[in-house]
Amino acid sequence: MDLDDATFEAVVNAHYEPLYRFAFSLAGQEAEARDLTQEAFAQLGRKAGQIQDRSKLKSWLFTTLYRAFVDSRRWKTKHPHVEVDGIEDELPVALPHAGEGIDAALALQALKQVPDVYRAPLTLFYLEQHSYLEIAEILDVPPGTVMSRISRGRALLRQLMEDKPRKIVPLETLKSQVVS
Amino acid sequence: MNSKDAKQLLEVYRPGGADARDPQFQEALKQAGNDPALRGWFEEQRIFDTAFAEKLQGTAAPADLKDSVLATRKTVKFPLWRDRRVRAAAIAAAITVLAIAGGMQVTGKTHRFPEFRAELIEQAWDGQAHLGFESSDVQRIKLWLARHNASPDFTLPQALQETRIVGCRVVEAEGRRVPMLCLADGLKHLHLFVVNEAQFAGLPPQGTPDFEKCGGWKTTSWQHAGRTYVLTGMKYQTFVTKFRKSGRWTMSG
Repeated sequence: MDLDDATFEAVVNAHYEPLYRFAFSLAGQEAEARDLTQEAFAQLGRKAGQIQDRSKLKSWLFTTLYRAFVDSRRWKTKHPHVEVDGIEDELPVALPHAGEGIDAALALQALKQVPDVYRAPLTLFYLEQHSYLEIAEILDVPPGTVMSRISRGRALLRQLMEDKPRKIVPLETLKSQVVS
Repeated sequence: MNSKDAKQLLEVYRPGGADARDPQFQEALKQAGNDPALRGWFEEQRIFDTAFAEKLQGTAAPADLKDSVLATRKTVKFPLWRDRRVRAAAIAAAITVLAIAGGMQVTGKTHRFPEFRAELIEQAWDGQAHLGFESSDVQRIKLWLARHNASPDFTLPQALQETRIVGCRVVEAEGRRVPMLCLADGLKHLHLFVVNEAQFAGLPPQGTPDFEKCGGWKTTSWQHAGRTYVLTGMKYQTFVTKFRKSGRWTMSG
């Protein structure tokens, strides 16, 4: 697809917020979420010509962001001497009146405790930007796996939410209960 | 569809109605309508999911994020003679003429440092997106470079400690992926390339920077700790006063 400056700006306007939310839920830090979001758009600037079907653009951006996240996790494992994880996880700024009925801080903290493998599909599920087929393409797993991971992830999430603030159950215990 | 199957499906039914048109979900919803226990469970799920989705969708992006993203696409406008393609065509034409006139054979790429440096500088000012990544945080820049298969190992020389890192990109020249750091020095704008284990003829001697004019830009290059640095983007006066005459230039990088 052609990507002149005006088109690029329109694409950024349309997608930067949901992309950032996805990035934040994956990374848990504003700085890294910003990097991931910027990275997705920078790659769009370089590779727009490879996108034949404009209707796939949103999924392409989410896929690119997710791959950048996975790559960064691999890189951090290989290069533990570079102190990029020194920043504590942060709580995001929530828009007024968002999600009244559950505590924002608890909800997002609980989501962060859900393992990556469940958190990514679960976040895409709650962001409601994609069909299940698209989520499967973004995460590069079969649609059935997406469904089961969402189901398990949500069970973990609910348990974490219900246990807070009274008692925090060790994650390993939760995983063994839900995954088995 | 029985209630057990319906429950399994409704566990992944999205609260915003995105799945309402799917026939399988419609059937599961119908089953929930007929089974009070399933309906109660489903209602309770929906309350949680709706609240959680609103919470997640209500996460605010940083106020300046959009501007940062748009800034990475800023382009640098140059006169025609600085257009790579125009110059490449002109150079190719000149080589052809010389080769024909002198009966020369043109024998492929050179691996001399001056040509490599010229290629770096040409790539860096080619009018395409100026920065691949915008940040003033060195650690984040190193992480970005590593993600893009460029070496993140560099140290800013002492003479550049007062500058502010604006961002970076990766420049490809002679088959190498070379990190380029963009530095702001007041209103001026410097580019620093860091080349690891450069094996070129004509490298600057160890411990002594060389100062050359290259493609319309003043440059200085030096070697330190197995790396070759190329700095460019300075006006002549800045270059002379800051790096040659002031004596502030030190090879700590």
